[in-house]
Amino acid sequence: MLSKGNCGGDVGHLRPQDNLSTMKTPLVKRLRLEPFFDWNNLPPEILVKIFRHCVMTEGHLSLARLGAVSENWRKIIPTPSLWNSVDFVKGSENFTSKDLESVTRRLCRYIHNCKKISFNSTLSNIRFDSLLPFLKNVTEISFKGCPKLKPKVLVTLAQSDNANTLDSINIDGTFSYRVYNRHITTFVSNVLPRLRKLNFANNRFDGPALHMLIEGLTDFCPILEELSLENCFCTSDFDLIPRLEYLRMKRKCLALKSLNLNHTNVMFYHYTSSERNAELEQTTNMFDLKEFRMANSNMLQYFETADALTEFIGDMPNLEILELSRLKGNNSFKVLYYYKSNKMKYLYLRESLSGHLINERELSEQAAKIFRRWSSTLIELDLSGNNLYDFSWAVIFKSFGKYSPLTKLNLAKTNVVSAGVEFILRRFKNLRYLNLKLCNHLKEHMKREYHSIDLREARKNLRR
Amino acid sequence: MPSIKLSSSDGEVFSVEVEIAKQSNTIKTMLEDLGMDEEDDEAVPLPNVNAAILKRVIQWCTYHKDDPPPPEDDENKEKRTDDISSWDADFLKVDQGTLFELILAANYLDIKGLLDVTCKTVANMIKGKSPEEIRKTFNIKNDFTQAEEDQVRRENEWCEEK
Repeated sequence: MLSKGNCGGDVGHLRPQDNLSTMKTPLVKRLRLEPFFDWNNLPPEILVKIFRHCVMTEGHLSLARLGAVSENWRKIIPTPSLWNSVDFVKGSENFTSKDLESVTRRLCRYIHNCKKISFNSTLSNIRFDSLLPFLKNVTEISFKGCPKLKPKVLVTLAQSDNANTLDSINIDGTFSYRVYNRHITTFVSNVLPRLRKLNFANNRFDGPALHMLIEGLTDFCPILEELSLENCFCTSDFDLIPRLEYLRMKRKCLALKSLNLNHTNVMFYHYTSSERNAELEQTTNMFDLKEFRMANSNMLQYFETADALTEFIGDMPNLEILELSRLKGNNSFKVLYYYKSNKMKYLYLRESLSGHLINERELSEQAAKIFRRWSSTLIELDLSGNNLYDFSWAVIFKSFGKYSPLTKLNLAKTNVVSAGVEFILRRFKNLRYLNLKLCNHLKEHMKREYHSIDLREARKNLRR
Repeated sequence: MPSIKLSSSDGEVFSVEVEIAKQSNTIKTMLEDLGMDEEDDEAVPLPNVNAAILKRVIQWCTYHKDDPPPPEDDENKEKRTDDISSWDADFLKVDQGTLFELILAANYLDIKGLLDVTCKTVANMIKGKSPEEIRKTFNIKNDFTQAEEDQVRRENEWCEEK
């Protein structure tokens, strides 16, 4: 610290401008000369900041508009920091297809350093082929909403020497063409092993192609964390349904956290006892799933698959999100009985029990154990479309105890009775949403959705 | 609470708590690196900020003194523009000249939070406007030459009102 006397002297030539970067100084001088403010001559670094906010709310297409304002504004467009995470989708609905084509094409010249990119509907295979050499640093690509793109892009990605850093691909609903073996073979061997996230949802697979992808999953996917194959394959031909070697997958996809197989026909491989023993001997490290979804699957059409499912995910200690909806022929809570996770937060069991139910006592005992186990963690529960014994419903809701954090409960299309609803209203203090639509055992005025306000009102009426 | 004095370009002196003033990295650096004494009676000269704006800046810093420090690198993080707090939104209901000067002051004084929220406000004013509307809003002269203008117009036919 300087002494007081010295300090005073020093401050005299310690002008604040000395701290400024050279970039800021000329502007400062200009400001002092000109009494009027001039938005056109904002310092470039401030314009960049403003443009970045515009890009975040309106997407990168908005830059074409900003660049047309003035020469100074136009010079800002190529600034690299604006092009780290490129979004050509936002705002694309405001263009005619011809305009979108030319604007996107012009802006594409700035994408060469981007890390993430979302393409829009103008992207064709030829266009992507020409852009790929420029995507040297890209880690995430989204093809969602690129209907012109054909599955051949999977081959392009697999054979390219570029995009080596790519580890996340979103192809959700992209292809209007079916995905065949020839598209997926090199993709599975060259690209899949280096992916962290893969979203293949809502595409149509040819049976053997899906089989090949599933086989890839049991081969080598060391860093894959999220995988969605939702709504990818549906067949009535039993022989075409790919078999998942689930025990092998557990030790091959070690990083996997989230797996979505909703509405995709996959079956668990039926291990012989010697195969199973051989497999179990090797199982030292396993994946640690947080989320698993399987709805409307053929998997549970066969009685032994409930056991396979338990073997697949039952021992996951950190499972928090589980969907097992529309399981064909499932007639009990057995699929949930032997779980090790005590962290379950979101449980979706829409139309899960559809067969001829097992007897009342057994079902209620299962339910009591399952819901007591997760009573202090469940936040969302969907039991819609299930018709259970009256006693079983009572057991389910009583097993939650008095301090349940449950906030969302869906009981639509169930046979729950009004005494049950009253119990729910009294017991679940944290409930913010309750769905009782189409519950045939309830009075007409009760069959509806209840949000926070409605629930408060309903509780008040109860006290009267 | 130790305080320091700040002197505006037009000579008005403000006494501010050090902790509040230190939200300005420019002032913070002066105090810490350059060894200015906090007890000093000498006012820190801020020749680029006039009294009216400095008063507003101090008002903003006082309200935000307990905010957690803003994250360092914001370029890769997704951030929303419409998340301006209601206090900030009220604070920034000012004429364009004031907003403009607040941006420059925030930039000069290096107050990240204030610069962020003022830039967001400008971005919101731009939202959904055509180039011509933007020029009108901010009183920007179209400085493209006729040839450039034609070029820009050809490239941007879509952004004019249809």
